[in-house]
Amino acid sequence: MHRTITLLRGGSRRTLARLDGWMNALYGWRLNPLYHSGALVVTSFVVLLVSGLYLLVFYRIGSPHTSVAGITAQVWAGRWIRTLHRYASAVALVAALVHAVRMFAQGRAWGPRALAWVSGVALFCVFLLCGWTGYVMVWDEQAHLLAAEGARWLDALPIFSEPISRAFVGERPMPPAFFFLNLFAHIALPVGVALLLWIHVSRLARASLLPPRALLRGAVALLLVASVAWPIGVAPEADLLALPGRVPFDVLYGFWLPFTRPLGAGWVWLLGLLVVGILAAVPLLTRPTRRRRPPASVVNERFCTGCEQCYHDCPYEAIAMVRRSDGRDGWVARVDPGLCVSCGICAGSCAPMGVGPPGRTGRDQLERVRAFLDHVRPGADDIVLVACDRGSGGAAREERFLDAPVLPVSCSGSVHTSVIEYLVRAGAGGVLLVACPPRDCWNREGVGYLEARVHQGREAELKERVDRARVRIVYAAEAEPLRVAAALNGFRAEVKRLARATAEERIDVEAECEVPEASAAEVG
Amino acid sequence: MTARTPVGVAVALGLVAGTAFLSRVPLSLRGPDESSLRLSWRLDPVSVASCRPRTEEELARLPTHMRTPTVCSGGTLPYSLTVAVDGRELIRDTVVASGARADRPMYVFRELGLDPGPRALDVAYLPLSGGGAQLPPGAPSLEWRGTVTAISGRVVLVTLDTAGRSLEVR
Ligand code: HEM
Ligand code: SF4
Ligand code: SF4
Repeated sequence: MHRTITLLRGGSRRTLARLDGWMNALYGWRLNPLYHSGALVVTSFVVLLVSGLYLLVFYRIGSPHTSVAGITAQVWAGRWIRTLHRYASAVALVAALVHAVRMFAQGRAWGPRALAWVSGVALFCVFLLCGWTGYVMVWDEQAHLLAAEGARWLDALPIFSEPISRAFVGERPMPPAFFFLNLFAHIALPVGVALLLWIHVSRLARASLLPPRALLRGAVALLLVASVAWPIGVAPEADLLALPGRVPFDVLYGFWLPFTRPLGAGWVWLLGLLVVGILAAVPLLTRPTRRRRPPASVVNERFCTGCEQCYHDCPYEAIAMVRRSDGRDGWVARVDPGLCVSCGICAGSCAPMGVGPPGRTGRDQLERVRAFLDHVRPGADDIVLVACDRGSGGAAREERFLDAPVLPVSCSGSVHTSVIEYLVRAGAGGVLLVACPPRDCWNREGVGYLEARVHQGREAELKERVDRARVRIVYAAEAEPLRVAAALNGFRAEVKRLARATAEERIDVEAECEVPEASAAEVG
Repeated sequence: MTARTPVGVAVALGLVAGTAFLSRVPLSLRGPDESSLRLSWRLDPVSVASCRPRTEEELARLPTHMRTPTVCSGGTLPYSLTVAVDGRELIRDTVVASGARADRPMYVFRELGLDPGPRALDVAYLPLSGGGAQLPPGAPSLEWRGTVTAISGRVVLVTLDTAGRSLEVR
């Protein structure tokens, strides 16, 4: 099973990387819709709510098909709003699928993220159910197919005293109570979606529920254009004594129908539960073994000044500020290991280097830089690449990229700015920070913090004394090595025009991060 | 606005149109020459229970809330369902009353594929007396024998007539 999962993850990661590359070329990383797939589901959901409310005004449970035909032919903009409702539901499902595949490919399903994953699976199922009930509302041939199939499944459960399927055999006309129940479900399920969405993002700080404004407007405009240009029609009314012929069928919401129809209802339940069970178990199936599991972040109370920066920056709300327990006054950061995903972003937040996952704190990073410099010894013409090992055009996989030495990091948002300073002061001609496009940060917000720490003075900021002309950030998706190459070549040319870099004899960036003597003595 | 904008807009439109198409693919979920025979009816169960009053001792032995005055054994009558099309038997089955205690109505709901054209149909739904025992009065026996014309894409429905006494074909 683990081998299959690894193969699946690798395959989906490579496919996504390629698609991301194409989309970045077309729209730029800011508006790449693949990076905003979760937010596009929310956008489609809002469109569904608004258009659905309009349609609800004209829908009649006593004459479902006639009222839908009326909406399409007589109601003002009815045909377009119906189409908009249909197409938004299709886009929601496709976007949800892309979003889920991305989370899976990036291994973002286990540990504290399991809640988001499992509620995501539930969201997906509720979307499918909502589409199902929506199609039944229309009461055309497709509706008949879907309703009869659903009834067949329900009859296999020992719940109903009378088989529900008998409602669809044609002995009697369909009872309005059926359409009432179906409408009730179609309205209640979106309430479930809202509730599940709240749970879905409950462990995320500052969840991005909507895409950037330009993408949001573009997505809605495209849906409107498609609805007007290619409106849906009205299929023939369901005839209970007819076998559905050639019908316009939604293969997104009804993909399962051709598979389930030949199976006994018991098998359908069994296979359905198996598929949902496997999906819900992905957090367990993708969890690294205990030895390879990255450890949660730890606060070294000795260095923590209680500045709250890590508490604000943690994208997973895993840090709380609590009273100090070391006899000193004030507050200290405390990490909840049950919520920490070990992204390392707090290591980059903390000026005194008092927090971070073991082995990846600011201090640990400086250790690595020293070892790196001993080994590489970059000269005044050399650009050092500090590359995130997730995306970054795959640069972090090499020891040298286009002859530039590479220092791989686990997330560029976890890089402490002292590392950049150290490299510059050690005489490197320049430092090229290669990060994933911000909306594709595997840790949600890391790249944005890196940019803010280097250029906008956000704590722990890159010190004024570091020549910004020797520091550059480039965003590159996994399949964009050419972007890294272009940035590197351009930067090389610029650095050549600068005064020759010189190495300092003694670099001691930690000294200013040490605890003042007095308090160190207090700590004992 | 860059040189790539028109391509980007065209690709986005294409993606939305593709997704929209997936929501309305013309699909045929049956063969060109398919018809079907559907049997569907509901009958009240026929009780074959024999009941006797409980003796004083039996009543005394039972907890207060279980002291029903009569005790019954037996249950409801099972039925046999046979269906033959053009002389070929396609269904031979026993139907029992529904419910955990088999005291709820009997439901028949079957669907079979049928080749279009005139078909000799023979449906029998008969009580199973079990060892030649006397059938209770009022146990219905339902039979339908005749020719039906199966039309491609249509269902031949065998069900109870409005009076609920005999089978009819619709
Ligand atoms: C169907 C409706 C869905 C909606 C509306 C939705 C929306 C979102 C949003 C807005 C975020 C926050 C993104 C951010 O701020 O970085 C998110 C995160 C997440 N979603 Fe979904 N999602 C949906 C379905 C799914 C599905 C089907 C899965 C997987 C089975 C999934 C897995 C996740 C995970 C694991 C995260 C957390 C990411 C992290 O921890 O870094 N979601 N989702
Ligand atoms: S950033 Fe560092 S100093 Fe500030 S609260 Fe967090 S651990 Fe303490
Ligand atoms: S590593 Fe730090 S920033 Fe990341 S989740 Fe853990 S506590 Fe939060």
